[in-house]
Amino acid sequence: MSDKTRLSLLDRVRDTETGDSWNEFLAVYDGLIDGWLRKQGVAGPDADDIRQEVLETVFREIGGFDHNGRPGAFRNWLRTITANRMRRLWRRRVSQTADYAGPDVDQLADQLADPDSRLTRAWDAEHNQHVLARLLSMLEGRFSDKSVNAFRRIVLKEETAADVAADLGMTLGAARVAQHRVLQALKEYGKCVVD
Amino acid sequence: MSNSDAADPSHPEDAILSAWLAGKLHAALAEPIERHLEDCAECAARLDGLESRPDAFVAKLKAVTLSERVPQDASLPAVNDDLAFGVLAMQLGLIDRERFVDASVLWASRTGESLADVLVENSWVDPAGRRQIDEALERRRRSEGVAEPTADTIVGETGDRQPDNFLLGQLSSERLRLRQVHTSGGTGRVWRAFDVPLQREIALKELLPQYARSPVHRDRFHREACVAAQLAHPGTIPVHEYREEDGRCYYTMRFVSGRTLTDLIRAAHEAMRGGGDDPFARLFELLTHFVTICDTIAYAHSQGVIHRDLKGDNVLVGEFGEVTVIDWGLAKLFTPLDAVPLAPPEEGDSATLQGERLGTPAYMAPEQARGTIDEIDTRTDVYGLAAILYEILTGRPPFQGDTVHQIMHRVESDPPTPPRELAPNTPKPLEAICLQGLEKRREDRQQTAAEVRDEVRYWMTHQTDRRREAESRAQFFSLSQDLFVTLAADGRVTHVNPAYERLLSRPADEVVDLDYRDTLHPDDRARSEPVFRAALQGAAESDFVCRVQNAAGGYVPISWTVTRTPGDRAVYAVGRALDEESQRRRQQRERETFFSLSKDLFVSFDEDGAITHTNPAYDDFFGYDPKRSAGKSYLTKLHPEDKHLVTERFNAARRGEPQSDFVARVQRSTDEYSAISWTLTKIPGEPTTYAVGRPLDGEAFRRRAAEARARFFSLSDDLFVVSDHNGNAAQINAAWTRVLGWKPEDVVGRPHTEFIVGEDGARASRAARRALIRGSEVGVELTMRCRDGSTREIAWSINRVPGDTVIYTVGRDVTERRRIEQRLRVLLRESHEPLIVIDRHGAIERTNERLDTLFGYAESELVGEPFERLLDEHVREEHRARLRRYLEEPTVRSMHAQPRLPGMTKDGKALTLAVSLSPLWLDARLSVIAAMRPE
Repeated sequence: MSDKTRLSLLDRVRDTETGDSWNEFLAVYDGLIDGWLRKQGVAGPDADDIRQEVLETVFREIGGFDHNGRPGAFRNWLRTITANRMRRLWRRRVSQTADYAGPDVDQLADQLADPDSRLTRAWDAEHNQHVLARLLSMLEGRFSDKSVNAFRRIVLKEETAADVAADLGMTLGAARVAQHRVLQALKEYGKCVVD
Repeated sequence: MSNSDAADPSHPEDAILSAWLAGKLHAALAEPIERHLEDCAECAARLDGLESRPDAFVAKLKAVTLSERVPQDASLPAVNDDLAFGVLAMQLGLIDRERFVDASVLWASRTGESLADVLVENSWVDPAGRRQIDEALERRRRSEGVAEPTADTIVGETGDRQPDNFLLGQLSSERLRLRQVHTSGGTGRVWRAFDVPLQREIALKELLPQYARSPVHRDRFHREACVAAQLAHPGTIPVHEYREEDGRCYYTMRFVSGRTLTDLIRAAHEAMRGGGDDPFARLFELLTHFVTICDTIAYAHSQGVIHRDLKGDNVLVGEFGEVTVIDWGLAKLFTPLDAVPLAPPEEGDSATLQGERLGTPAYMAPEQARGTIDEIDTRTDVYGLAAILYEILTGRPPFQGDTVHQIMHRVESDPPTPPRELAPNTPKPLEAICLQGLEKRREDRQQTAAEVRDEVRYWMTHQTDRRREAESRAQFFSLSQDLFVTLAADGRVTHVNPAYERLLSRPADEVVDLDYRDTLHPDDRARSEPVFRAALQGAAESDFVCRVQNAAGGYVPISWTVTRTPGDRAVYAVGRALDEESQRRRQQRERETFFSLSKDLFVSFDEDGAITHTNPAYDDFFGYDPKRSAGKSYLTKLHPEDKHLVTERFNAARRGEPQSDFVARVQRSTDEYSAISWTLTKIPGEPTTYAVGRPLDGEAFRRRAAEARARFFSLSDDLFVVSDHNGNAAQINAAWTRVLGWKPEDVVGRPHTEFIVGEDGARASRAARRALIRGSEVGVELTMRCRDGSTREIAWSINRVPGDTVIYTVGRDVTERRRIEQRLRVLLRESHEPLIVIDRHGAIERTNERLDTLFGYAESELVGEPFERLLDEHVREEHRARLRRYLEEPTVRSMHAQPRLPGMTKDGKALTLAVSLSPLWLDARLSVIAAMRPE
């Protein structure tokens, strides 16, 4: 029971002793950062460098990360780290090669560091969407198909609980409980990350 | 009960269940509750009523999964599998975006076949590729729960799949510097970049490197750049250059920033829903953009380019209202001359494919959805424009659905929901324009973009005019002292103005929506109906008196003017109450207005003889402050010697005997006395007495006389000129401009000889000198120069005004008369017939030589004689009467139609005459020409 109550992705990653948690975190955020960089036209090796450095920084500093309770604190923290790593890479890059023809990463970093920029708004939206999609996909290993189905149909599709229960061969109460458990798990899991 | 420990018979309280629902119950407490709920249908049902406010987390989840479309029925999973297959094929680089769309179209038109089947069947994906995709799909579905693609992401520009990333090759960094990716599409992406030599921001569109190797893609990309480069219009983006270097293709163009029209539409509709500001103003702004879009598309069509993907998202509106149509990536060239679409050259195999490319499903024309490429022409863009108009009017695209399949099906077979069902305030004419453009058959749509534009623009201008008119009318109505009532075609009262409310003490909301007949006196109702109906037909009726009920149940007689509202099937009536008091007030107001404009001195007194009102002429003349005059006795400023006389006259006037033209002296502010000729009148039934005065001094007289003359001359058709003693014009009237074309500034200050044709100048000067001596000279005919170089004949009379050194000259245009006379002379001289001209009294005016010879008279001997002189003595009396009747109603009478007349020569010889008569108008004077032929 106590394991289940500490489902939060953030909490689990902070507890760096469990390698699984870190892998879980990577599965979510590796794709997010990589996808985002490529979308901005940042090329292969550069994107790899930045992504790696960002994840390294998160790994190192997440113990000290303090969620101050304001919505988006983690998202913003990650954004700031990403912007800083991009700047660092840019400084190295400029000194190394003169005929670089990719995007102006420094400029991207500036925009990403600016909480009101278009890029930041896009970042926020993508972050939430990506993380939630991942969370949903992770449910399947944890709950029975029936429970996940009950949750999807009652909560996401707004079908009536009675219909869904009858359809799935559950009692009404069982359907409601299943729906409730899945939702609580999702909330717990995404706590402090999706807000 | 044995199972009491499994299902606690005591049901949990609401508060506990609520806490559980909100996730606030500790796990240890939650568990028994959950166990209970699983078995207790009663408590499970209670949960529905306990769910509190909407959960923010759930809302976010829904937003994410909205695109996931959990299948609702058995047919849908197949759809989603198909689309996922297509997307994966695209992501794996096996097909490109266009091919994917091609395949989707084909697939949508077939049943029982999967998208994979279609792809393999057309050899766009080989069986190995198919296996690869199936496996990848399975893998991804298992491991990642891949979000299934949606209608938006398939065809839109925002697919979240990441293409292989390559840099733009050996771009010379001195020339171009990439900034960041602006948008990404299926095969290309747009960068913001910096043009270093020219120091400007530009946009760079790059063919994604993985496609740059394919000649088909390169050609297509190149053609896209070519198409875009053909367009030079403020509403399109100018292309700078196209390059292929190191196997990379790109072209550069101006960078345009702005919000998409869809964004603006969304904002506008949100604001409109919020109420507050003027929804029409918002709609107008969007429509203004729309008209510009139509212009741009009309231009593109003139250049042989069809856009094929028109939607609000493909229109950018800049900060200063500049409207740009973007994304010509799907555009197509056709032959503009006959608008017959032509397959683009060098298209390869895909050119032959029906449904070669596609727009965005929600905005797609039916011929695109069907994929019938040979039906795609400029009218496809007309559909796209109408779809944008639909978006403007309703805030959403014409067709929506959960899947591409669904949307495309609707595009092809369902009529769009009429905009007024979604946005009830949509003006009907706009809805009609929009729905016509969305017709399934191209023939039923507007045929050109310009036609759509003109229709919308016409509505906008018309609407602006009508609003302005309505506003000014409303303002006028509310300020007017008259009553205004507007009536709908069915006779319902739609509006009454404040004056109506005041006079009848009935508030507007009590009267509005009543049948107008119910507001009238029962005896007047039937009488009013023909007037109302006639007004609806457009026949105005004025001074129609009927009685209207007031709040107290009484009736007020009102004189109405009933007119049709311009441009509407409605009627407005302007009324004026006929009761004594308002009549009296109105007359007084009119009198005062009249007198305030008068040059005469005007003063009114109450029954005690105290001044109540003076007009500006009075105040000016005497130099008194009107406010201080008021209340003073009529005697105050009178000359002491005249007081007795005036008192007598005043009393007589008050008895109802008007007193006219008596002279009394009144003191002015300068202390001198002025002799004034007065008229005193008392209005019957009113306490007021009016005095109207005219100063007797010579200057005032002369001024008045000059004014009267000027008034007369300005209205006259005759030319009028006042010259000084040197003969230079000082004043001319408007007839100069009408007749000769000269304006006052051309004439005033110049000698008259400048306007007289050379040889007549001396004669004119002599006549003027004679007039100065004798006082007048009449009938001086001069040829005058017109401003346009032509000439006209003017007959002048020249007058010196006694006591003045000025000369008044009046001229009449006799050009026409002279011309007719000239023609008449020629006619009489040249004709082979004996001719005679008779005046309107039947006297002979002139004859020609043949007639004189025929009847044996000398030249001019007959002039002034009665016409009958030429007839047999016995019929003269009878014919005098007949001729008089003819002259009252003269018509052309030919010889054949006339009985023969017995004529007689000077020496008594009898003749039989065939006679024809034709009336001739000379200077509004009637003459008759008669031909008299002997038989």
